[in-house]
Amino acid sequence: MKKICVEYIMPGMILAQDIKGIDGNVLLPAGTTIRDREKNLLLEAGIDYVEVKARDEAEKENYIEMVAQEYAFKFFMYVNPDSELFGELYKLVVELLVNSLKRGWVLPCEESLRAKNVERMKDLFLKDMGGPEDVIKHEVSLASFPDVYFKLKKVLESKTASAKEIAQVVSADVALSAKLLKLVNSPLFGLTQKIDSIERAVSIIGEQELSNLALGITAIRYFKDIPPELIDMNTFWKHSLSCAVFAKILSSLLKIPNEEFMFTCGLLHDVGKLILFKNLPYGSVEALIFARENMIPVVEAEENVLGFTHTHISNLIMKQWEFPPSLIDIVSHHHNPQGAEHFKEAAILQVADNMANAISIAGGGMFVVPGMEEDVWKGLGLKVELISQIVAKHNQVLKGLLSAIL
Amino acid sequence: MSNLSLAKLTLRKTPKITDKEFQELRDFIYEKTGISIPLRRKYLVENKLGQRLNELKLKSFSDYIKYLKFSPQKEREFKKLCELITINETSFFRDIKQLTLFKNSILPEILEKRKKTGKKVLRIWSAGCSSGEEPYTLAIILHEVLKVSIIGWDIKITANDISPLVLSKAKMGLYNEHTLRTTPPNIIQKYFIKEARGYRIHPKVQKLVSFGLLNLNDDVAVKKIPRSDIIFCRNVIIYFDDEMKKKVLNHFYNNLLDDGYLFLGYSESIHRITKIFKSVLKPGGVVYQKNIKK
Repeated sequence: MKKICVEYIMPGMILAQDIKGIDGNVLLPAGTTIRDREKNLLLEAGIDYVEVKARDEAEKENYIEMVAQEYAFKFFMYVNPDSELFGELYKLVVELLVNSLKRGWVLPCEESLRAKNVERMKDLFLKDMGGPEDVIKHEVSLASFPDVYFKLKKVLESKTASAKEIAQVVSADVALSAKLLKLVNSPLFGLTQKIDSIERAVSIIGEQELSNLALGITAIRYFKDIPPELIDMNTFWKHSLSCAVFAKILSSLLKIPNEEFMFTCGLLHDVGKLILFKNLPYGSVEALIFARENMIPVVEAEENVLGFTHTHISNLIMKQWEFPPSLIDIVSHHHNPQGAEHFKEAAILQVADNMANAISIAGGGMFVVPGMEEDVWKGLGLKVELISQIVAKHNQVLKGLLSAIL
Repeated sequence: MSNLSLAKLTLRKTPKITDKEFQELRDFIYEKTGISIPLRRKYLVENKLGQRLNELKLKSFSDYIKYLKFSPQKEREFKKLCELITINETSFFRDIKQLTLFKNSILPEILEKRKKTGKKVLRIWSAGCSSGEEPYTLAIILHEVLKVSIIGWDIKITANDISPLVLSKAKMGLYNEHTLRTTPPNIIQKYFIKEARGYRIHPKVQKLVSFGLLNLNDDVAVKKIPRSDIIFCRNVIIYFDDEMKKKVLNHFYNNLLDDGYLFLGYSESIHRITKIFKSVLKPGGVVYQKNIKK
């Protein structure tokens, strides 16, 4: 017996409960075999979940596979169906879904995937009466980026900085140090020895690399006061971390130097969204609703609804915060790497973002996979057979990392 | 899942659309409805319409386009196409800020003005009414504001959509709990009748609304809409390109009475497109009035 959303019912499933109408009378009794007519009745009555059962184990397996396929497919409707990358991701997602379903996971109903109700929140400006620059101006007036980052930057720029000096600056920020150490000691970094001090971390993984990681973690702190009814920060950082992990693994496989840098790019790739949410909560939610209704990527919905996107915002805010120019370039172009100076890195980030989006489908993700140009994917020269290994590695390290840095 | 069945899994579920076919289809849809489909949504269109191809047992999009243009069933198919490409997401009392602005500010102003002229006539146009939630919501608000005195008024809400399927839903007036999720319970009690299959809109609300099929790109048909005191056109023009937006806004300009008001969706704005309307900023949002040179 299994709880399932009405929209995913396959003809032939058997109702395992009485379905009552609004007036209390039984619409459909338990034991009814559900076919199109019954399914339509349930849909019209607005019933969310029903309990169903199959005739036997084999049929149950079959249903699970079919439901997983149908559910997953919806999230891939925007991407190129002939793409080898997305074809592979689709298969992986279906497999993940089947496993989740077998373990008792219930697919979220269409209705529960609707964005939150933020009727009470006010936007900084109404459409066309302001732009990204106004958002940034307001944001900057509210808060400044944590000091430790600028101190660190200054030390690094001095060229004569020793590992000790750098460590001093970072260590002064106890929370940051703790998280950094947890991060570098995680399986993702594959270090053979445990690192127990920042100074040691600097000498082992490098000053620039440590600084990049510190940047990423500091950014998380900046956003800690966003109201939960506006956005689920856990989900947000999980996606960002997912992207960071994929970016690092992909960079490693493609022999791009500075994997830590790419990790930070992944971690920060969507911070523009947070700034948008803070300043244009109503508009942001409208964009999310538009994305769901039209089955388009959120970035495209932002363009339609707001007139600009979270990448415009990240570009401006990161400039304001004096982030490394290459970081700004790569993060701003993760949806259009062709426009980036660091094209290859931006393309890697785009793949990482797509992979993170795809994997989240099996965890209740709400939006379609954004897709990318097949040429850009092919140009990276990564064998598609490696994708499942990359996903496996990602799944291995993700949970530990999440608790480490949040 | 068996490795064999997993290996056979593919995203390609429909015939493939060529760029040329996509362009032809886009042009056809634009010409007929004014809806502009972005190039980036090629695969989405391929998937959505591809299902239709499978249903009709057509082998290619070229065949489908021919079917749309020349087959004896082209009228029926066009209606089906409209259903597939339009978004019909809606609910009762959607965008409560804007509706509050309507109820507390705009509506009283218009009612007062009309009362003074001695002709208690009110005409509202819900352009893009989908399955009826919006016009019925407006009708409910009218009942709430006018109460018994509604009897003394000649009120008509003209509600149109391009998709026949949602219109028939609207005419039926039967709704479920999801679409009523942001409706206050006392409103549901007053204006809906509980039935086994859902909530049916009360006849006193229904009789204020007149539904009809309408394509906003059809100049002749649009001109037949009675002149309006208030127009609601929310989450419709966002699907049009600038050219079509201008055209529709001109229609609205010609239809709206000189002191009337236009309500658009929250995320739709027009001052980049045309100057024939001026925006009026009120608590709760923006509403538009005709920009008339004195």
